This record gives sequence, C-alpha cells and structure tokens, in this order.
Amino acid sequence: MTDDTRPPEPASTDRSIGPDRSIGPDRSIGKDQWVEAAADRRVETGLDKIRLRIASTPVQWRILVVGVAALLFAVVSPTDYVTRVAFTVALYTLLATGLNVVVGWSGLLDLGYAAFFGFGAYAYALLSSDKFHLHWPTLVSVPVVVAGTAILGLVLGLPSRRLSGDYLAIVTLFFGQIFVSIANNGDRLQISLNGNELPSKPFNLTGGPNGVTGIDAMSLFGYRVHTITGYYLVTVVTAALVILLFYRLRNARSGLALRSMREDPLAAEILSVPVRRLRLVAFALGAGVAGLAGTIFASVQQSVFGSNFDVPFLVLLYASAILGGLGNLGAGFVGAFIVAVLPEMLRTPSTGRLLVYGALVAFLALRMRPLGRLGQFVASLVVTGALVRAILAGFGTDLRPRGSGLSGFTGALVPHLERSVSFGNVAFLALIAGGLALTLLSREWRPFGGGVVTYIGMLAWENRLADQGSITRQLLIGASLVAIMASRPQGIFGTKRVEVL
Amino acid sequence: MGQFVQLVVNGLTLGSVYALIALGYSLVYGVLKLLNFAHGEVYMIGAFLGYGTLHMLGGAADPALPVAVLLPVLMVVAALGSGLVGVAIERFAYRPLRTAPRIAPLVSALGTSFFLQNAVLLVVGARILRYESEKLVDVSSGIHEGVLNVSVMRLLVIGVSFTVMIGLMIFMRRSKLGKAMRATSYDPEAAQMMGLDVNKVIMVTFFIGSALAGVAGVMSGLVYNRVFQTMGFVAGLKGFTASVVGGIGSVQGAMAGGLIIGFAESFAQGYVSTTFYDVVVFLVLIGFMLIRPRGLFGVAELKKV
Repeated sequence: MTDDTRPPEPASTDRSIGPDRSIGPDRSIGKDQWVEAAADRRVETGLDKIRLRIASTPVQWRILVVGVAALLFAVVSPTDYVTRVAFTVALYTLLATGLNVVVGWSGLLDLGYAAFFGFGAYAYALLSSDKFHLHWPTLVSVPVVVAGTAILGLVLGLPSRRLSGDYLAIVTLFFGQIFVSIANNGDRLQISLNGNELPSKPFNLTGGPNGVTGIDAMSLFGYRVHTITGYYLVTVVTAALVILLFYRLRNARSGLALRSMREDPLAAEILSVPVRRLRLVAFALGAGVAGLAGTIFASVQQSVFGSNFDVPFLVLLYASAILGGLGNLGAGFVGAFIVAVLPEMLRTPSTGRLLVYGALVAFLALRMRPLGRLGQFVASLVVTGALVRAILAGFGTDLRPRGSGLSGFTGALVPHLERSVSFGNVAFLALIAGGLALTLLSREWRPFGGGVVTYIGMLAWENRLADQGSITRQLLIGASLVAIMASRPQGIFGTKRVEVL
Repeated sequence: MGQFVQLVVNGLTLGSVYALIALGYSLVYGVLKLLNFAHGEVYMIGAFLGYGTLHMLGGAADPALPVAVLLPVLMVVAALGSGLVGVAIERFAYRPLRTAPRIAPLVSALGTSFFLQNAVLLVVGARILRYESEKLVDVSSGIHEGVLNVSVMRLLVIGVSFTVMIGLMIFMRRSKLGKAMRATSYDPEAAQMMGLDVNKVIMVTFFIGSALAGVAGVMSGLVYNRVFQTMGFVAGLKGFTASVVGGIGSVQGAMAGGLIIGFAESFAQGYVSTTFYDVVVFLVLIGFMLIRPRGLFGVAELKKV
C-alpha cells in the first residue's frame, strides 16, 4: 500500500492519557485505552442518556415493543390518510435501515441507493403487471426481485474495489443518474447497426415518462393485500424482521468486520479482514433491502415513474438515515418519522403554522434560560416587529390580513401583504442571511439576534413559505442536513465516533 | 464532414463551460481535499444572477447599455454574486466540519445543494427563463465559411473561458496569493506554520472558484438560452468529472478534462443517441475513473499507514 521510502517515524504511542481511568474493575477488554478514556470524558446530553437507556434493553424486546405498538396503530388509526402516512414512515424506516448498513456500518457513500429502490420497483412492476402480461405470484416475484437487486448491487459495487471516498460516491451517483435516464427514456429502445434498426419496432421497456401502471397488488398466503392498512402491516413486519436480522448480523463476526472497515479500512485489511469482498457484501445487502422496499412501493402505488427515484428522493433517504443516527439501526425509525410526517404537517398552512410556532415555543422553553435571555429575545422581537410595521406603513403599504383564514394572534403580529410574492421572497432571503449571521454572533448577543431573525422568519413564513408546503419541506430537509452535520454529525441517536489519529 | 466540424464546435463550446466549472472543483479540492457538491448550484445561481441583471437593464430586446458593455457587466455581476455565495457556503457549511470524518462534508454539501436549488425554486419559480440572446447579437454574424459555422456567442464563450483560464494559470504561478494557494494545497498545516492565514486562502479559493462558475452560468445562459433551477446538478456532476479526468487539483487538467467531457457529450449526441447521450458520457467517465483515478495530469496520492 505505502510507497513511502522515508524511514518510519517513531510511533506516537506516548500520547498522554491523563489519569489512568481505564484500569479498574469496570475496564472493558479489547477496547483501546485512549478511546475508553475519551468515552469517559464525553459529555452526556439528555439525548445521549435516552440513547443509553434504550440501548440497555435487549434488541429483541425493543423491536417487539415498537413493532407491536406499530401494528396496534393500524387498529386505532382514524383514517386511511393517517395510515398512509404511517405506511410511509414504515417504508422509509426499511429504506433507512438498508442505507445504514452501507453508509453507517461500512462507510461507503452509496449515492446510487435510490436507484436500487427504483430497480426493485420497476422489476416488480414488469414482472407483475399488464405491461408484458406477466403476473407472477408475489411470493415468487418478490424473492426474485430482491435477489436481482442484490446482484445488481454486487455488480455496481465493483468499482469500490478500486475507488473509495468521494470518487466512489460520484461513480454511484452516475449509476443513479443512468438508471433515471433509462427509466425515463426506455420506451423507444432501438439500436441502429449498419443501417439496420434492431429491433425493427422500437422496444418499450419502461414506459418512459408514462411509467408502468396497473401493477398487481401483493397476495400473500392466499390473502390479497388491497388496503393501505394491509400494506402497512406487511411493511411493519418486514421492517421489523429486517432490523432484527441486521442486529443479529451486527454482532456476528461478519458484522464486526463490516464495522471495522468503516473505522479504518487500511487497518482492517492488515488485520486480514477481506475489505474488498465485504464492501461488495455491504452494497449487495443495502441493495437487497432497497429492492424489497421497492416491490412494496410499486404494489402500493400500482404505478412507477422514473422521476420517483431521482436525487430529491435520495436526499430524503439520506436525511432519514442521518437524522436518526448513522450506524444505529433502529434509529432509522426516528429519522423516517421526521422526514415522512413533516411534509404532511406542512401540507396546509394551518397545521404548518401549528408546527412552526409550536417548535418555536418549545425551543424557547428549552434553550432560553435564564429568563433574562428570554426577555432580551422577546424585546428584540417586539422592537423588530414595530420597526418593520413602521417602515411598511411609511411606504404606504397596505397591511390588511390576507383572506386565507389568518386571524388572531399571528394575524395581529405579522403583517401580510396582499398577494405580494416579492415581499415574501425578500423576507425569505433576509431570513437566510440573518440565520447565517446569527451563527456568527457571540453567546450574549444571540437572544437579540434571535429575536430579529425570528421576526424575519415569521414574515417569510406567513408571506411565502406557508403557501409552498412542498418547497418548504425540501428547504427544511436541506438545511437540517447541513445543521446536523455541523452540530451533531452522528445524528440524533447515533454513536459518536472517537477518532484515534 | 460538416457534421463532424459542427460537433467539434459544439464540443468546444460545451467543454469551455465545463472547464470553467471544473476549475472551481479543482481549486477547492486542491486546497481542502473536499468535494464541493454544491458547486453546480453556484453555477445555476450565476446563470440566474446574469438573467436578473439583464432583466433589470431592460432585457435583451431593449438593453440600457451597448452590447459590448452589457455582456461584461453581466459576467462581472454574476461572478461577484456567485463568489459571495461560494464564500458563504464555505463559511457556514464546510468550515465547521474541517476536522469531521470525510463523510460529513459530503452530506452537508448534498444538503446545501438541495437547499439552494429549492431556495431558487421558491424565489424564482419552476419556469424555464430565456436570456433571448438572439435579440442581443445577430444570429447570422460570426464565422460561416464552408462547413464551418460558429456563431458570435460561441466564439465569445470559447474566447472568454480560455482567457480566464490562462489568466488563472498565470495568477496561480506568479502572484503571491496564488503561491499561498499552492502552498496551502500542498500542506495546510505547514503553510499555517509559515504564517499564512489559511482561512483567508481558503476563502479566496472558494471565491475564485465560485466566480468562475458564475461566469460559466452566464455564458451557458447566453448560448443555450435556458435557465432553470435544476440546471446546476448535471452540469456540476460533469464539471466534477471533468476535473477528475484532468487530474483533480490541476488547472491545466481541469481545462483538458472539461474539453474531453464536452467532446464526449457532443459526439455521443451526434453519433450515438440523442436521448441516451448522458448515459454514454457517464459510462465513459466511469470507465475512465476506474482505469486512471488520478486523471491525466494528476499525481497519484500515496497512502501512508
């Protein structure tokens, strides 16, 4: 590996470890002394405490409790709409779990993951729909599709034998783009060889932009799944089984080897871990899970389109895996919950408003202590509000509330300009600039800055963002990825990596 | 023959745009060893800034300035604006992550890119905007001799991008700041010990790289006449590969790589398939990255245990 011709430097083993805390009755065997000491020094926040509490109960129990609770939810769910949201959570959990194996355990940034999901969906669609008049039974087509996707993952993982890091990420992203391109343009396949068109009539494989429709519902053990509740139950059981399987794998030798690869591929290789082969295994495992989720997705939607599997979806999946916590399998559920429920909350301005102002109040209650800080915050909020109103009134702007059901508290607080898109846009841009500037302020000035930014945020929210729920959701997801990387790279429930340099 | 010449011209135009984008990746990667995924969005923002400026100056039909002044103004405004966006991205999305594991900045970059795309979608909307550059410059002007047909806009794009690139090469070789950038790229820690303000150097690097992307955005708007909020993604992808093909971290490499990608795309469009040209280009690139990951002008990185 190393072409370095210089004499080896003395190993830096004389790192000061501080007081030797690692020697004692509790000393765990097989752990690096320095890592151990660092683990002791780690500050445990509330989230970490919750994580440790959860981690101390056996895995089977955790999965059983969450799984049964999820199954019972199907009974109490008031409407099909709620069940559908719950189904999305379960599906994203499944996908995040697969992604966790590739990215969280093995440290391979697989940006073609959405394509595996798409491949599974399209493969199921072609095997069980009117498209080619194939109607394979579910219990045959699903295993075939999963095996096929896993093999595809193996093949597309081959570049990982030569590339790593950023290059591997880009190559997998290419694969994703190629998949989307083929799915979107695969309705007129024809090769021209020496003037001969082969086949003579353009071959329609994927339906192009029209996708594949009329996909069969799943039927399991003689029972045809045709309601969203049925699919929800199937997905929950599948996700629980997959998570359980991966937990077993995690503590087996091969799981250990996979995780050692993430920490340091070179060191793992020296310890005779078959790194290259394991990378392929990780790719195949992730792809297989994605393919499985794809079959469920296709049969629920009864139709698939290439645009379903493009980059926005990929970012969504990464957000759900990362928000939950990379490397922690069950935490995919938390991320999936956030990513799937958030857009539903933002669907109508009224529930979105509840979410935004609720989050604001919760944040203030948790973080604005002592009370003096809260006072500073409120004072700056009120002053900003008065200033903005005065300026707007000075321009002779009409401050009437809009007709979209705005009233009461927020109506009194924030001016709404009649159909003024540009005002909302200006407020939005000011919000970005203000939010960024806020991170540069020193601690004592934060409450003042926070008040100003919050007011600008409310202006932007009421005048622009609230009407554009889907864009707002994407903005929030993008911003939260950046914020979480900067503040808590391990995600909400992830374990922090201690790097020994 | 005619088609071949035309494809070469197309490839050259496309390649110049890609080369400018590739330079941004290359500069940033050289200094920070970071893949700036959001670079494509900076290019897109540059295109929109150019459009906005053109619009504010009366639009293509009735510009307030003569064309010879107007076009440089567009490029300078876009370059400054994009440069600032790039500096902001560095400051807020990447600087907190300098010591984080390798995967963190990549995810952060993905998030930034997603955020910027949607911010533009919110502010501008999803429609495709047109520069209407045919109203600025007479379409029939340019070089038209025999099989050779090159419009003025294409000449402008090729000329500007080569001038900028040669200027950048001289800047990197001769100026003090260029030297500082090279030193930082070689060994940031040692550079800091020698009294270089590494943070400032990184900021300048991001500014220059992003400004070039902004210029590329305006030029692509002028030639291809289409500006939309998702244009940055694929262009960024190709720009990145261009820098990899040429050898990441090398200015000449980025130029060569950009041209190679431009030609590959143009010929794939002309001779292989008009719908699957992206697939062809990507396959060629995957092959190239597998065979020679360090690129044409790159130096193989040694791994030390």
